Amino acid sequence: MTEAARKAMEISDEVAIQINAMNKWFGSFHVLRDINLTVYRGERIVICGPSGSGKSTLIRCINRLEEHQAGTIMVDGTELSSDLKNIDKIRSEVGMVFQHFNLFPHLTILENLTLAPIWVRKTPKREAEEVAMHYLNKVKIPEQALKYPGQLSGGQQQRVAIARSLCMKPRIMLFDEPTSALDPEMIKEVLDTMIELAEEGMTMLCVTHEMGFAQAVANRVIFMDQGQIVEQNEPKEFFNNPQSERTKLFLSQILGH
Amino acid sequence: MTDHTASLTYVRDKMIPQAAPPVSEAGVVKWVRENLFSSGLNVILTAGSLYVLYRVIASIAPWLLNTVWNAGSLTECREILAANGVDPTVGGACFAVIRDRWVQFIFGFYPADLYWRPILAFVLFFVALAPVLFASVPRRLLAFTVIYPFLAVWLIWGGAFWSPLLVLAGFGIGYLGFVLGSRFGGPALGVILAVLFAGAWWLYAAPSISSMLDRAVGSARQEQSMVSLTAETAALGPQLADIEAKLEASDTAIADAVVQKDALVAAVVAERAAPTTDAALAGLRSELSASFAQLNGLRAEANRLAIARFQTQDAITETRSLLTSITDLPRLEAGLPDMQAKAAELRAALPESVAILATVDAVGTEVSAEDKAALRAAITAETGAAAAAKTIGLTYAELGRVGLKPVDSSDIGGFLLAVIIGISGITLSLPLGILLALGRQSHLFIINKVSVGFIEIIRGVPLIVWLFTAQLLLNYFLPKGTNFDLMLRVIIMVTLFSSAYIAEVIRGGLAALPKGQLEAANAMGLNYWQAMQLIVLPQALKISIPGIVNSFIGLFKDTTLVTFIGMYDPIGLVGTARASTEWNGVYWELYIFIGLLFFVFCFSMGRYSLYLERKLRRENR
Repeated sequence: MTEAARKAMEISDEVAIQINAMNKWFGSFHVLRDINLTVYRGERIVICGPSGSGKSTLIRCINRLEEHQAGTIMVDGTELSSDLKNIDKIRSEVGMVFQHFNLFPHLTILENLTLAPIWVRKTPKREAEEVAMHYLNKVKIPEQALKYPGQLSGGQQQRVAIARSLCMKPRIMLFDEPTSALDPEMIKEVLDTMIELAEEGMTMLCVTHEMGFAQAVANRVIFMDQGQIVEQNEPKEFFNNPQSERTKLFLSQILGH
Repeated sequence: MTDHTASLTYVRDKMIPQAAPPVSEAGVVKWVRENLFSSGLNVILTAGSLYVLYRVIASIAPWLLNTVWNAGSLTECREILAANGVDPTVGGACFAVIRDRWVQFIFGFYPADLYWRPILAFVLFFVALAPVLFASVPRRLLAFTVIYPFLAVWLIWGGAFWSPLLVLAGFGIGYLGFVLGSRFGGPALGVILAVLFAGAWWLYAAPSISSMLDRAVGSARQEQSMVSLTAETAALGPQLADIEAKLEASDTAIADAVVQKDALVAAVVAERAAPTTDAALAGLRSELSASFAQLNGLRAEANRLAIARFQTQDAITETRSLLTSITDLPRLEAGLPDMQAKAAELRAALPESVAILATVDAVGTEVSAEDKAALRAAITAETGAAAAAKTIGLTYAELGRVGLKPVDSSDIGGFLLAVIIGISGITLSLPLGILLALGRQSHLFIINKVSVGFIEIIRGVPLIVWLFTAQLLLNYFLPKGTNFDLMLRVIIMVTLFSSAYIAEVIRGGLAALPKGQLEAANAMGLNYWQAMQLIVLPQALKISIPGIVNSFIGLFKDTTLVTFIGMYDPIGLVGTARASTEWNGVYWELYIFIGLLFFVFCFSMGRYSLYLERKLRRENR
């Protein structure tokens, strides 16, 4: 890691996301229970836990893809409520990368990237395309700009998805298991892109089972089970010295093979 | 155990070049074997199908091959067939009826001298359609597509040139309402204001502006019109006499030709009964065929003359009545205020028991005879005043019209009618169907239930019932005094009917779309309408293309149902053709012709849908 990167990765004491006593139910199922979480600008948080523990739901609540029923979520000082204006504002500030990429198959890569800047930010088309090419260069696939998503490999598609989020110049990035649907060979190219992003100081919340990634760039690891935060710590402590029995069991299962 | 290693080791020392397959595995032989005779059962099926095909063709082909194109009636068709020595059990098609009536099958009773208008509208339709259907056409042409509906309505129905412009302006007014509403109270108020503004404009402002323009132009032209109309009436009389003389001459010529033809028919029959030489029969037959051709030419001329006579008579009646109306105009206009005042006075003076009644029929026995008489007088005065006002308005409209001669909806028939209803239904039902499909997916309770109810009710009732509703009931639900054109009501019903089906087809497309697409769009900050327009609908519609085109084809064919509510679509015109003395008894030929025309339309739509599917598949995958 270069000195510049180290500097960029320093965490400020400005609060990016503040979640207080947040609860969520799917019907009668209590999926998130009393979540309290403060994310500072520049933080890189990895969220892990067994499936069904509510980690995806948690980050989907942050940009209101899921609605919470109790507690508060503040993103960049704006509270998430049912006010559509606030929701649209927050969504355009928060980038999201999905497990299944969710690129738009009927649009070219370039159109995928310029769509939101043009329609949401009202950026002129030419300018939006310049920005898009910049980010495509950054994820190292500028030559694919005029192809359709279906013509790209999974890893390339996920890098396009990351670039697509970056085109909106977000201040926070959410990753929902970005490498789970990828072949082992392609996981690395996506993780490299994410590491690069982390080194530039992006605030990131990342649901992933890539413990190598967590150790390399995360400054905090959160372990969730049954809809609650069971343990959080800095990566070294978390992996070497887990406190809760549940965490120990989980770590032994995912690291044991 | 023996040592296997030696026998398993193998090294190829020479590569085998490609060789041609055996004869039985290539070309025609292989194809026939695989596709026609691959097993015993298939041999039987192939032979059976060929036999059925043979029987069908063998029974239809002779009838088609003996087709008569040149005849003035079914009787003449039979005469020709007999003269040609066709076996009566086989018979021959009499497509002469199509030759005689095809213009009517295309245009219905549309005035013959105005055929260019629907033809032009139809040609322009393809110009308007091109930028929608084909991506290679310049986008600028879309502007024409937008104004085309107004242009087409004006061309087909005629009227003053400002009426389509006034209708078009209504959209501008509506947009203004939307902008104002959204500035002061959000999009919901915007939509409400837009509907209110546009509705007020179309129902009240536009008609009065139109009649003001009529009046302005009409009074300016009054003097000049009097002069030109008088001159026209004077010229029309001799013209009519001329046509009638020609028609009389033509009738004599036809009678002569019929006598000649009958003689030839008799000669041919006699020759057949007692043949002399081969040459004699052939000679007589070619003479007979020439005679029929001549007779047809004469009849066509007579037909043309008859139409001209009818039009001239019509023109004379019209000019005369217009002249009378213009002469009457000052008197009517001067008298109108008095008439209206008188009517109002009578109405005000009515006793309380009958004060608000509009007919005498509804009065009960408890009302005295005097009161009844007073009511009757008031109603007579009111009707008189209204009629005078209407006459004044109509006279000015006739005088002041700058544009095309108006054509009544009831004159439009045949394929013109089917195409008008079909195309309007198709273009209007697609957007409505999309909205209904989105409504059915919506989480908003009221919108969801309204959409579901609408779709289920419309789908659950036969189209013919809706058409009868359009014919009989719809006027009850409209404000009093609005007299909605029957065709407009039918178009509305057909559109609603088809949109319910299209909504269900599109809902299938929406359901097939991965949920992640909408989530990704939302996560990027696109609002609902943007996400629908840019992400969801393009993909859902692509999936739904076959179903949508299927619905369109169904809609187009269903237009033939309007025959049951008294409109003259092609099927209705079959009745008209068969009701004539000439063609009583013809039916196969007419239905074949109609079937072929519909087939051409529907087949083209099906082909376009396949083209579109292939093209989109190529683009996206």
